[in-house]
Amino acid sequence: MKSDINLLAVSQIETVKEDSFLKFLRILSIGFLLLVLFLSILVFILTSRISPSSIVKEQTSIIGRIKLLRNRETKILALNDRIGAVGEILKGRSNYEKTIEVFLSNVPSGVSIGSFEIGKTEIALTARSDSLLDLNAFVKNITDLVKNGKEIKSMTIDNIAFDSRSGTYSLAIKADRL
Amino acid sequence: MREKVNIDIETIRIIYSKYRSHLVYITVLIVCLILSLGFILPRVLDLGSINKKRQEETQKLRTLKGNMETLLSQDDSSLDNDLQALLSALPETKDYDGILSAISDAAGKSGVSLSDYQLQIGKISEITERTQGYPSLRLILNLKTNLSGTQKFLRELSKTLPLSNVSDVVHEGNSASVTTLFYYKPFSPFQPKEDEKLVNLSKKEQNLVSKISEWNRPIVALLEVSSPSSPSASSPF
Repeated sequence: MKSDINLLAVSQIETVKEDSFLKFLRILSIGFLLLVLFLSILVFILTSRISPSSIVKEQTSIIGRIKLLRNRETKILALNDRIGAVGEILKGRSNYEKTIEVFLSNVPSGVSIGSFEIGKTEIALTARSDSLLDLNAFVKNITDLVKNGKEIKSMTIDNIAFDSRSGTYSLAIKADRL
Repeated sequence: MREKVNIDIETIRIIYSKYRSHLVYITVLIVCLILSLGFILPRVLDLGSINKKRQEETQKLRTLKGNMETLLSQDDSSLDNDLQALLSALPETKDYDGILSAISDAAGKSGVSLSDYQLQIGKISEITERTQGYPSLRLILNLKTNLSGTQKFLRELSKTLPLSNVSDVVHEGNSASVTTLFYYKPFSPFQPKEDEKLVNLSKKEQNLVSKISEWNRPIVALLEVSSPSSPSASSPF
């Protein structure tokens, strides 16, 4: 028995097709409309939630309060500016006073310092004594300073001389500061 | 050859009445598409940049709140004291009176006699400014004292304001020549920036200010800080 007999006329078939297409179009357009509506609301909510306008408003209020304390703010900025410079200058200072103290404390009795020059990196001095033994003790003390890493890192004996008129020995030393 | 199609008003009307329902839905679809592409999509794309801006503004607000707290945590009198101490240490301009007072004070306290001094200003200072970072005045001091006296003088000078930095000491017999730099630092124009963090002095820096405050501040230097244009401040020499 035949089961695929078309009882509808051709024009009726077209009408059914058209109706179903129209239905599809309707569903699609309504769905799309709803989607657009939903997205619009979602974007609106998100935009208003993450909008920085409330933060800017709060900022303006705090800036207004800070402006009233502008004088104090300037003082703090000035302090920060100056303390850095002061710190740097103090850091860069050489402690000559301590170096001289260390040398003076190592001068044995019987030895006198004739000249003493001190710069950022070098020390040059002349010691005088009428005894070579005392000068030797002085040299030993200075050598100990080098060994112990105190104030100087190296030492060179520049010259040893004897003055027959005054009967004194003089010793010229050069040292590199630590 | 192209066939000519004649569409008259009647034909259009027939087509319109046949597809009227279709047209409504298609129009809705087109409008939705235009809305999506023209309005919704750009807003969605903007969300990222809006969020980024919000984060930036939040950070700026945090900085402002921190600055406000910093400002409220300080009182003017302690700030003034600290600033006075630091200005005594590092004056804004070439503080001749302060320098000469400091030398006089150090000489007096160490018991050495100051025979003469030579102040070098001008181009030499300009060179110093470039090589050492801060502008300075170079002063060559001639002392009449032994090495121990020189040492005491240096000790006193190092704890006297304004800040100095001895660059050379030449001692010969009973006289010494001490080359010293006295620093000054003009104020840079302060333009408070709202998004810049304002910080209080650290503990270490506060200790430094306290230490400096205890150093010798000859009277003239104090007067200089309280009234920068004081013409009555005279040299102690």
